[in-house]
Amino acid sequence: MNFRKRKIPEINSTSSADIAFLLLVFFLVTSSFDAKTGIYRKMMPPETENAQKQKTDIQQKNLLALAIDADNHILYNDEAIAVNQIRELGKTFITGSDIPKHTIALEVNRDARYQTYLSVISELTAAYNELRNEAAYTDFNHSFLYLTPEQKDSIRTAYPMHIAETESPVEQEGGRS
Amino acid sequence: MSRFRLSAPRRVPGINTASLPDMIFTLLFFFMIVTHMRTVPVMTQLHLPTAQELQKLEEQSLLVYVIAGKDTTIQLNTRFIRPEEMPVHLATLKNNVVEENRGKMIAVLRIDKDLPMGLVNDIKHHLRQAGILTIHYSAEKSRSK
Repeated sequence: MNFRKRKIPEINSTSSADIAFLLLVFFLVTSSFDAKTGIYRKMMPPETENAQKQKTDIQQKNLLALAIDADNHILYNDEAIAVNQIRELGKTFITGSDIPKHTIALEVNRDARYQTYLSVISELTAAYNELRNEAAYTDFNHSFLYLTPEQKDSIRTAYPMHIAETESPVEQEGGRS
Repeated sequence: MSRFRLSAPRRVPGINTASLPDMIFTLLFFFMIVTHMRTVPVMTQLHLPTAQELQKLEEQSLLVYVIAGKDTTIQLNTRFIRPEEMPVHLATLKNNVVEENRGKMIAVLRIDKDLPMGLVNDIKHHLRQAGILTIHYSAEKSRSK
């Protein structure tokens, strides 16, 4: 008996390009390119009813009071300031205060535009980020981005973010829907 | 002269397409990496606000989408709701999540830039009462500067 070696037929692969194309088109259709960018914010836990509202007296130098009025003006000491001034204002305020105790109070009118609010928040975040970055350079000789998580935490505790948001009181009661 | 005469008629060789699927697959993987699946469709019209200091949303799960369009309709994940119904819907959403993960939930606020802050504050108030404390304001990078 002589066993001839059997030939295995090759798989026809001309259509595999088409299959890959189909997959490609499917992913192009179902996925989206919109970058999910934005600003993270952490809110305080809700107040429990029996917990007393504690009023803390904040010294003048530890309080930066900003307000956004109904006409989208940003007010600092009742004077309108521009959005691009906030970053410097915030930085000089934070460095001039007892840093762990400082508070930035932001009072927002219900009729102000969301865009105005977000630009203010963005600039304040920028102020914090710049300060943290400077601290990272002086303490660790690196930019904040490249620090280890422990180093980041130490700088975050040195420069904590204290932004208190309040809503301007409205004339008629029960404005909340 | 006859030395150079060709023995067979000249023909253009066919292009070898064996590596074509590999090229397409490379493209496919590229798109799979740089894009992400659209999980929650935005069913209203809205223009996101712009901002300078932006962070990418890194979490893929435990997200609660709150989408408010130009016409002040509120879309919570995939359905439209009324503002006063928000606490109920948030509570059911929280109940669907395993208990130890409830603290990790993140609200993604995609709100039109021209909406009044009163609406935003109401949404934030409801989220806070529901115990969803981390929020991510969706915004686009501003062009200027």
